[in-house]
Amino acid sequence: MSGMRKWMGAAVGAAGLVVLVAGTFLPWSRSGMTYRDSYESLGVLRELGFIGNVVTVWVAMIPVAAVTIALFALGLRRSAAIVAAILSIIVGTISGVAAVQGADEGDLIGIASSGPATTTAGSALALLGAVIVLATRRTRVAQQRTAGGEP
Amino acid sequence: MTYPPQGGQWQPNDPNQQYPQQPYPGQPSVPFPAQGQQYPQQQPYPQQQPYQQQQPYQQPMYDQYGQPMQQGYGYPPPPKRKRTGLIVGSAIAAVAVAAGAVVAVVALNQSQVNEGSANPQDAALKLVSAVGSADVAGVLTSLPPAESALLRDLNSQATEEFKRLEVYKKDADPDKVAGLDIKTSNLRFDDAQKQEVNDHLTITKLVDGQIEVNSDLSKLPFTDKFLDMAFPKGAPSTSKTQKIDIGKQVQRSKKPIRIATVKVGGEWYPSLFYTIADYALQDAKKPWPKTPVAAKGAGSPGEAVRGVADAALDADLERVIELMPPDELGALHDAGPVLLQAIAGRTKPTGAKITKLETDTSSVTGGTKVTLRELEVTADGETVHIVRKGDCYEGTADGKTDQLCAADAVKEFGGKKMPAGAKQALTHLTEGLFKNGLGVVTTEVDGKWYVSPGRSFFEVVLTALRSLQPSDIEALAKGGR
Repeated sequence: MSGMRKWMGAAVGAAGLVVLVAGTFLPWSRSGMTYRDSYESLGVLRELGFIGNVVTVWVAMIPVAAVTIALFALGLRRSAAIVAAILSIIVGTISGVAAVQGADEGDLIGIASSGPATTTAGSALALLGAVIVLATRRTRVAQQRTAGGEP
Repeated sequence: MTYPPQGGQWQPNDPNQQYPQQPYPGQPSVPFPAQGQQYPQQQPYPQQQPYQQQQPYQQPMYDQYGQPMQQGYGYPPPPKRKRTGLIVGSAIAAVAVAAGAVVAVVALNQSQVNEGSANPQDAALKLVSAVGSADVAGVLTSLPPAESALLRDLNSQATEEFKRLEVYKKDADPDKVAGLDIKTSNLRFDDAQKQEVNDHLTITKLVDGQIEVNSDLSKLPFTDKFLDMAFPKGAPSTSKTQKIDIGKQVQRSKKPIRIATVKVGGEWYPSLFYTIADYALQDAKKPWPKTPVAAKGAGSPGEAVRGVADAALDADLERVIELMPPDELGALHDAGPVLLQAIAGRTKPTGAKITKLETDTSSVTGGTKVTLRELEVTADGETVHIVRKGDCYEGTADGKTDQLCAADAVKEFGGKKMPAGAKQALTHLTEGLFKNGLGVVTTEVDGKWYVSPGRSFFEVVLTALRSLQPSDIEALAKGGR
């Protein structure tokens, strides 16, 4: 039963990470009638001199998510869950703030809502999967200790 | 026949190989008695027979005896581990990592906002499309990098100052052009009419399309306090819509809309300054010159300023243009010969010479500001010496020395009729200008220094804004009524 839950947690976590990354390719900013995804938006902000090279750090999230999914697939679920939890908390916070700030249609330039909202949902899903994986292992260890077996 | 006699080469390391390299004792060392006869010397080696059957020696030891021994000791065969999960997991992991790498590269490419275009028409269309979709960020990033940087720096700094002075709301965004909405449709360029001026400048011609401009003053980011001051009888709620039919305009004027595009770093950009220069040349009925005034920068910010000052006194406009930044004011360099031709013979050297010029430099956004520390000018045998002392300037001429400070300058303003608040505002303004020092902004291009007129002008405006306080805006508004 715990094995099933464990795999379910890994699947939910991996799916959350995929949704998280997919959300970053949806509209994050709107300038007039032009919508830009998170990478284009950060590129424009960098081009306009408002930010430094934050975009590289933001892009680095993709390989981290990919490696985390690979760890889930290889059965290193606990390590993957820890990375997924950290990644989803960081990205989810950023996208959550953007989602709240967004959807102001009155301004000529603003934050679009679909990208941040999707990424926030993906972050929540990834965090849920990570929690399931971590909680399942703890439960199993506790049960083994109670039964006198070796953990 | 000699050895080896049994067909095939003898292998020295082959344990199954029969030994007889050398004749056996008692045997003649001469060739064998008869060809095709069985070699009798092989018979005396009966141990060869089992040796020949010892193939299992080549296998591991436990294999040799493995089967019967294992069965004999009763060990069960090891259970076969299912590897399906591992294989599937590995495959998923490999796909995930590969997909992650590809997606990361795509994302990185998308973040490279290089709004240059492959050809002039695409560049012009990109600008017009950005304007048409009210894409302010797109407009700013579609201009040549130097022009974009100039406008961006001015916009962001001025917005911050207006917010501090409570003219703009605190949440005003420098990128927001609130209150203005522009839509375009059916834009068409005439490729046949495009004018290739030189290898880096092409004028594109817009011949058809519609532009709709909606403006609404109530959406501007002014504070209520400022609106009350500026419009005591209530802000006009003007929402206007203006439609422009480019096709009709072009038919009427018989002149297409010209948009100048320039090639920078191998890519084409629509240029605001080149477009202005192009229209100026059109008005003057002058063509673009074939050769530009080449940029010749100075070794340092101070030398650039000194060069421009010397050239201005000598009425040497060509040298002045040479010292203008070629990235920001490439249009001036390209149109320079027409200007030189236009003013030829109309200006004369002043005769004044700068005998001493010492400057201070400070870093400002986008360049280096050069301010005056000491200046000595000689003209008609007379020498004027100006030196900055703290927030005051001390001038000496004809052996007479005068000092001008901010407080002295303020006394000259307005007289007794000026309201106290307005006088206070002017005091702040003057003190700020004296304290910060008026200067010119220089920029570095390819290791050489140039004087930037645009940045210098904006720096003066920004210095004035920085000198004021929020209460000064109110006082000036009341004093202006």
